[in-house]
Amino acid sequence: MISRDPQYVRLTRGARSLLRQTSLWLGADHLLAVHIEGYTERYQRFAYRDIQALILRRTPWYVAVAAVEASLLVPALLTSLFATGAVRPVAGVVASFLAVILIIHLVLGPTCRCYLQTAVKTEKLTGLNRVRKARRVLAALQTRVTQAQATP
Amino acid sequence: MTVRPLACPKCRATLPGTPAELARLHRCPACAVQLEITAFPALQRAPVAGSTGDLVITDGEASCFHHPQKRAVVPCAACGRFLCALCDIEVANQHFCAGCFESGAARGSIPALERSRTRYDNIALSLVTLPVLFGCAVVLSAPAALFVVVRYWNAPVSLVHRTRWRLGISGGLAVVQIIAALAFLILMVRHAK
Repeated sequence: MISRDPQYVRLTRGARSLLRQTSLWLGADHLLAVHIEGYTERYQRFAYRDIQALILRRTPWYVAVAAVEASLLVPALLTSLFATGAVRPVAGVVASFLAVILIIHLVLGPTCRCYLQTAVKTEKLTGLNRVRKARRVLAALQTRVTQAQATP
Repeated sequence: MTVRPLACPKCRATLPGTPAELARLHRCPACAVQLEITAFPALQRAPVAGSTGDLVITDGEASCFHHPQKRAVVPCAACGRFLCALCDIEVANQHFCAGCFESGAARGSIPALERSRTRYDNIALSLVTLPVLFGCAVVLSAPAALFVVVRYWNAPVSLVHRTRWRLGISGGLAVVQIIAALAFLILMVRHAK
């Protein structure tokens, strides 16, 4: 059952895609997914009592993206170290940029996708793309769901 | 009705077991993708069949507006008609008949069923900022922004961002832009004279 005057606690910041931004919010008795598309907000509600399972699926993108970034970084780094002339500073800037991206990627940790299953559908939880963040969010959600389903 | 089994989100293969067994499952048996599953008691709860409503037992009892042969259990919160258990639609501790439920959902008068809102505050903010950023004239956009602020000041804001600061800032900026445009116009006229 969904309360009339919900107050929401932010669970995730908006995850941007090309056309929309999605954020998750904890309500009193339901999880709210807010999809911002242009100047319209669309809402999806998942009552805690109806949530059957939370699934975290690891994806191979962490290693793949790191490998691609490293394969781009190494030539840029070697060029910036050993080249001469005007190429050297340009290669240095490119190498620094790629290094920052690689470090951020490594610090954020392994990648994943998260799903929420109810009796009627399985919904992908947009924005939970890193295992560490997903575990933290799912733990907060698990507490609410467990409480809601413990009471008759 | 049967309980819907849990499926692997990648290969759609059925994942067997109770919630406790699923919690120990680390890979999909079919596609071997790594999984972390938290299952809840609702997974094993069979769907509850809706009540069809009791028949009227005595003549003095109130009966359903739509089914005169059935006992009324609750009045509709919107139209007040008596409803049997079959006609009763419960939303956020309120009871509605099918007609009021449908019209309430369409009008957005039942908050728990509200599916979308227009962000007029963002529209107003865009009208006062984007023309300036792109170097366009604000002669049209500033009055338009002011109109949006005044017209939609009392309109429901976002369900999660409940403040009107964007509207306030947009209104202030729109007024400043209009005053600046007027001042520029007066200066130009004086300069021409």
